[in-house]
Amino acid sequence: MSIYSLYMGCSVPANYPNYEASMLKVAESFELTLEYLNDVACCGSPNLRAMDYWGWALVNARTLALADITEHDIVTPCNGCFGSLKDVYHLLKHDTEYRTSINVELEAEDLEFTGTSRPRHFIEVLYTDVGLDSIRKKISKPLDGVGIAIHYGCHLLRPGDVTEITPEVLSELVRVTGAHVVEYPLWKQCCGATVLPVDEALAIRLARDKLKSMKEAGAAFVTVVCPACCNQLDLQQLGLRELYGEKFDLPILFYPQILGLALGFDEDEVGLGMNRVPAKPILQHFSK
Amino acid sequence: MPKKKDEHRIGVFICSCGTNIGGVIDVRKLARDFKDYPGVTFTTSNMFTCSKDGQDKIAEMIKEKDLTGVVIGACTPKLHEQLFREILEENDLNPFRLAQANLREHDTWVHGDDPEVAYKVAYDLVAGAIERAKTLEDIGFEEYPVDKSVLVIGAGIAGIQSALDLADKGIKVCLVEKYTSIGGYMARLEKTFPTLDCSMCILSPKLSAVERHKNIEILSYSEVIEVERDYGNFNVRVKKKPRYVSIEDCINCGACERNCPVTGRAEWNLGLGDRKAIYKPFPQAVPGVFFLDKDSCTHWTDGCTICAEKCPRDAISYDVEIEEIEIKVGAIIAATGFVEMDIEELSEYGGGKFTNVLTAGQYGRLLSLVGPTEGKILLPPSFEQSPKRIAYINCAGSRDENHRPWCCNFGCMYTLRHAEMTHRLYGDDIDQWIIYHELRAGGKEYEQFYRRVRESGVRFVRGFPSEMIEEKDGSISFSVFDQGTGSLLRLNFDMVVLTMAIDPSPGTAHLAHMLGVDRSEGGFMKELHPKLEPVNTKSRGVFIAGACQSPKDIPASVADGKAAASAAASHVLKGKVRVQMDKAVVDETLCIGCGLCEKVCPFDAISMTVRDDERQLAEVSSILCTGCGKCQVVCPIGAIKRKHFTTEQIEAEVLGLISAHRKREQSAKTSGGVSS
Amino acid sequence: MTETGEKKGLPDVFIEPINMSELDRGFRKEIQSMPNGEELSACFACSTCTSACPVANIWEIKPHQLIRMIILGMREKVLSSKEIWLCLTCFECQERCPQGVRVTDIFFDCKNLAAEENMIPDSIVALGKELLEKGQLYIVTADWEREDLDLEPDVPGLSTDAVKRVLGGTRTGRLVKGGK
Repeated sequence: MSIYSLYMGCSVPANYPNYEASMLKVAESFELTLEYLNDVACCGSPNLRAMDYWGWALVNARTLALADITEHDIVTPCNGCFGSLKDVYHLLKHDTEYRTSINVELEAEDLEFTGTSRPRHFIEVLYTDVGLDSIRKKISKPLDGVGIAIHYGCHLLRPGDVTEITPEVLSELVRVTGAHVVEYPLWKQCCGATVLPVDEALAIRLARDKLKSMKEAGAAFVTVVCPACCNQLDLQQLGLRELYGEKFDLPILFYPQILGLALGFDEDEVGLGMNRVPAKPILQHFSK
Repeated sequence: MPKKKDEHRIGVFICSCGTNIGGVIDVRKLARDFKDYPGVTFTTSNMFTCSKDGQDKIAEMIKEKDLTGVVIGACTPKLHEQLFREILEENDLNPFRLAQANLREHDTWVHGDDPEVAYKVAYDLVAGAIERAKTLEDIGFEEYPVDKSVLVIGAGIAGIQSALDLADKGIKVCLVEKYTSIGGYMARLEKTFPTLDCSMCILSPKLSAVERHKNIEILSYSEVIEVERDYGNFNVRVKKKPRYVSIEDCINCGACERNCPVTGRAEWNLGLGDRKAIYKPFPQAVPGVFFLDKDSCTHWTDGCTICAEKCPRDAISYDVEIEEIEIKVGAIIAATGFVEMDIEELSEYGGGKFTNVLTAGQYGRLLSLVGPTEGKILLPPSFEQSPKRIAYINCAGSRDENHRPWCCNFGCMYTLRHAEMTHRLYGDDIDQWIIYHELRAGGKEYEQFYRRVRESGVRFVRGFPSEMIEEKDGSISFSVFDQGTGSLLRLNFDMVVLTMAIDPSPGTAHLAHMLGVDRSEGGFMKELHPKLEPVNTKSRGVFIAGACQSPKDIPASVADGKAAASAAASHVLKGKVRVQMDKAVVDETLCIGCGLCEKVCPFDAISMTVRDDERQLAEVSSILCTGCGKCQVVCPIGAIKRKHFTTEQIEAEVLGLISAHRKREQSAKTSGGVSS
Repeated sequence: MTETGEKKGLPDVFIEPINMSELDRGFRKEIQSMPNGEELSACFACSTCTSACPVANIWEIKPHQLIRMIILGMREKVLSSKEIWLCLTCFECQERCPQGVRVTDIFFDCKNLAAEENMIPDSIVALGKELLEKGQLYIVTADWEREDLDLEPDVPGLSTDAVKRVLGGTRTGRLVKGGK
């Protein structure tokens, strides 16, 4: 049984309790103990990084320092949080000068960044610490080979030397559920979330192109591992239908929802009713 | 000769060449179709005639069938003719009894899309070759002795390397250098890219080695004025210009230079600054003695004798005449190097007009610790102040159809070297810009050097300058559209350095002519083959090395020098040259001495000589004759023949080809009429 | 075009070249001293970053041009460009750079310098304000959804005070105050 410090950030709990709940269910199945990390702050997102690098680094260094006390790795289900934590971790690991000045600030709270607790994305914990074989053994209701397109989310994969996660991590996890991974041309493209405050039209266009590419490649469902990406692909899909009459009907599911269903949880336990584009059709694809 | 005059026993070997030929035509059928051809004794086809199996088959059949001629239908004779000839010779058939039909380049590669046509063409070509084989004669060879000595022209790094390698093999070398010291362009450089090691530190051990080697004779301040072939050897006349200072007596005290009242333009510094009329170009010069430049000295105009008076050893004498010496060598290596294009040709960059526009070569002299400014970057003409901003302009005149279309090969690296050296000396005190279009850093570790220079803070602008003007304060302004930022910039610099296009050294054309070497674009000496024979030339026994062939940097020039030495060594160490006599021959009973052949011969191989009966007739030097056949074409009465390609032999082949073609057309008509 | 002002003499030329005096030689060093800016100089102007960028086509100044402008010292032009704020932060450019230039990271550095000089979109300052006032970007509004899933109604462990405290003393605090 492994113990992890859980960092939820603000977006998942506020907007996607279905992601949070399904993650907790899945973790429990594999005897992963996720302990909520207390007194942590919001990561601030790339927008904070853009306007106030020092403040952003400080806020996240503080979270990492709190995790260091627990001596457990810090796990998050959000690409935004993961990107921020991992980037600051990478910076402080490599730039000793910066680390010193950060630690001077943290001293006021009696905290110190030591780097013992590594920031991890929940899916990477599943892939590395649980492993595909253990997951496969526990799957009671595999999917029937239905086509699922993966939207990885930029900050899960890039920059590669910082995130240290390759696309196989998620694609293999999807395959182990029995689904077919649909390859599509724009698989690397951004969902547009970061530019939403600056240029909404551009953000919507990016989400739309992404959905179109997935749909045209034959995807029946989409999986994501980030609340911001989900916003762009799930919520905006409704807007696209309303404003532009473009219907994609592509249900967007968080990966733990799919895995949870395959492990035998029922649709309410993974909060399937909360997905904006109705996701229930996926239930037909699980063996009874 | 055939056993009986009219009896031919020809063997025909058709090659499939994998699918090159066999993939288009049925080679087995082709071989079969010649079974009953007049004069043919044996036919076969192989997968690869050039393979061991193919070779053995030819050998076996020559013996078994007592063949009088061999016809091979395969690829171009350029590839395997020599091999096939050797097989004939090994089996006691004269090697010139071989006729090859080029079924690949002349047929299946051309008509690959139409196998029917390809087959017909193949048939005709083989028929022609058979008819030719019937007319072929035995041809012998002559051998001439070759001296174990080599003349190396040009003592830059390529020539020096050749000389050292040859001398180490025990070959006598005569090293001729036009300038007063050996060393060439490399001796002018302060540091070399990409390692920035001191140029003279790595060159001077070689200079000393050349000077001390017992097998090397240095003729400095000398020029080759005449080259004459003497069968296997060359007779070369060399003009030794007087230096007016005795190499044996001069002790390098410098009294002459200190007292000399005359100054001239410092050639060694590429025109930057002055030198005396008597001087030593650089401290490590070899021969390491002083030298009097007659053109600037006033002895011959005003009768000045100060230097001779001040010389403690009486080493200076004004009464030295030009000396001409004759040497005989077995081979020649030309390594005459390059020069920067004349800056005055680049008026758009203010070349020759704007004081602060220099060539990269000149800038290199500024960086030299023994140069005009002792390694300091100072603005001409006073050399007192350092520039605050320098622009280097790459490809000045290069890759330009209006000037020099070729790439100068080392200019990019040369510029980077200057920028890096300047950065190390001046840091941020000199703001450096490189105006370039493409940056070519293809050598070993060159790319890493390029990155290092980028990281030094040099600003790179991709584009070529325009609207260049000289401001009142002597600074230079120009506009350049930077492709990187997409913006038009107006820049101003205290100094502009042009990385000039590269030309072959002056005199290359004349020397190439004397040596019988062709020249390529820009006048550089031409190699025999750009990839496979880079240091050989079409002139037997003449080799080329270094930048006289094309602009080259130091590593490439050294590699060339070594390659040319190796090629020249294998030429002279054999001690003799074997010349096959498939050349022009004169039938003296027919020759009328009109001299037309002498006029057209591109190789000066024909001369008109008076015979015992006092008739003046054409005579062919078989060592010079390359067998081009021009003389055979112009001879009004067929007195001169190019052996192995006589008019009769060519006619036989053509007639064979035509008659095969006609016969097939006719039989097609008759049988075609019946069947359709 | 008609002259409206009192200006006399010849009209301006159409394309005014950028003069050398407008170039800030220190800009490159300024960026290089910032986090992840060190590799900037390695840029050899191949424009792979622009090829990799999904939105470069709608940028007037392309990603590679911004990088070259930093190197040449066009500080004003880069920091006042709208493009740096239109960066998706998808890191495609950075990932593809053959010379290891951390392009996206450098654009973050540029945004920080621009923000310091108050050249920042209002919407971003508004996000900063949100963070300062509420301590988080997203707030739970539908706690019944959480309860349905057996989750605590509030975000467990999240301290809003921490963010307010930290960012109050950094540039975010200054920008938000200045904005008022």
